[in-house]
Amino acid sequence: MSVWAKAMEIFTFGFSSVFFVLGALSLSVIITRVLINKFGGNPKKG
Amino acid sequence: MVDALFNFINSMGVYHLTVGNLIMWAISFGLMFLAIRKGYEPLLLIPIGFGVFIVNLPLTNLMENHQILHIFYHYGLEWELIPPIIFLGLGAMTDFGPVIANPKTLLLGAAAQFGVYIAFFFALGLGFTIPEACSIGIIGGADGPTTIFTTVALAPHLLGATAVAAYSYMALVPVIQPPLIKMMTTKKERLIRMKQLRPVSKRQKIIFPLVTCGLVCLFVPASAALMAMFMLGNFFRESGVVERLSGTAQNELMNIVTIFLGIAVGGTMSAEAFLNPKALMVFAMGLVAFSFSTIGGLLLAKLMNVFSKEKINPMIGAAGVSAVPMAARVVQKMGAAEDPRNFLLMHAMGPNVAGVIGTVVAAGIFLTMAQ
Repeated sequence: MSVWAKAMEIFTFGFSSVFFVLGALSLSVIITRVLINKFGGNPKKG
Repeated sequence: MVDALFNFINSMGVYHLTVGNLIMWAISFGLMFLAIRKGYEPLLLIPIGFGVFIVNLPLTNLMENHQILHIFYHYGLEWELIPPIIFLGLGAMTDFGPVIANPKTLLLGAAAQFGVYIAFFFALGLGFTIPEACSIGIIGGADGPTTIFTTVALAPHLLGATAVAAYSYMALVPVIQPPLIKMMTTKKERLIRMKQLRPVSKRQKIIFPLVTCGLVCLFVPASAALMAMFMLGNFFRESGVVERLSGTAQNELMNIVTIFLGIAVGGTMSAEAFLNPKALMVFAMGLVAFSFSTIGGLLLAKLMNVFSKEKINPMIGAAGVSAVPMAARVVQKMGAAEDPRNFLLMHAMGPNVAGVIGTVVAAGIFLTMAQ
C-alpha cells in the first residue's frame, strides 16, 4: 500500500472515529439524563 | 607538563562548546523569557527551557545512560508514565458540567481535530514518514501530554520539537485564534447570545467519567492509558468522597510530574537532535495544525446553526482546540468585546473539554494505525 493510500485510510477511519466516539458519548449523556430523570428522582437534587 | 595542561583544558566543557550549543542556549533563554516576562505556560516552559540549557552544556552528558535527564526521560516518557499522570491531575481539575449540560458541544470538540489531519497531510507532503506525520498532526489537538504520548510511541526523535511546538502554540492561543475567529465569523454571529446552561445533577457528573471511560476505551483501546487516567481523576473529583486523592492528583502529584516532564522534554533538545530543518518544519506544521483546528470547530458551529433552531455562537467552536481553559477565555473575551453582556465562557468550556477527549481519540487511532 502506498504512503498516500495509507494516509487516506488513517484520515478516513481516524476523523470519522473521532466523530463517531464523541457522537456516541453525546448520545450517552442524553440517555443518562433521561434515565436519571425517569428513575432517579429530581435531577437538581442529584 | 604541556600535555597535562592540554588534557586539563580538554576536560573542560568550554573547550568543546559549539555554535549549535550557543544557539540552543539562545532558544532556552527565549523559552524562559517567554515564561517569566510574558507568563506563557511558565509551569512547562521554565523546566523545559532549563532542561535545554543544561543538556547543551558540553561534556555533562546528562542524557547519557544512567544520567539524571536520561532517567527522567526513560522512566517518565519512554515508559509512558508521565503523560497519563498529568491526565489524572487534569481530570481532577476538569468540570464536565458544561459538556453534560449541552452534549452537542462534544461534536465541536470532534470538528476541532480537523487541523490534526490537515497537518498530517502537509507533513507527509514535506517528506515526513507516516508515524512522524501523526506526531506532528497531533500538535493540532493543542494538548501537550497527548502530543508527548503519541510522539514517544511513534517518532521519539521529534519529541523536543513537537512538545515545544505544542506548548508554545498553546501559550499563543490568544494571539493565533482571534484573527482566525474574526475572519471566519460575521459580527452578527459573534453577537449571538446563548441560553444559560441547564443545571447538571451530581449523579450525572458521577456517571459521566464512567460512561466516557468505558465508551472511549471500548472503541479506541490504544487511548486507554490517557483516557482511563483522565476519567479516574474526574471520578475522584465528582465522587466527592476522596478529596485528599483529588487534591493530591491536581496539586502535589501534578506539580511533581510537571517538573519531570519539563526537564525530560528539555533534555531531548540537544543541538545535534534539534538543530535541523525537520524541527523547523515541525514548528511550521504545528501552526498549520492549530489554525485548521480552530477553523474546523468554527465551521461545524456555523453548520449546526443552519440546522438548529436554537442558535449557538459559532465562536465557541474555536474553543474545541483543547488548550484548556485558554481557548475558552479567548472566546469569552471576544464575545465581551462585541457585547459586554454576552457571557460565553461556560458555553465555550463545553467544546474546550470535549476537545481534550477528541484529541485523545485521534491519538489512539494514530497509535493503532500508524505503529
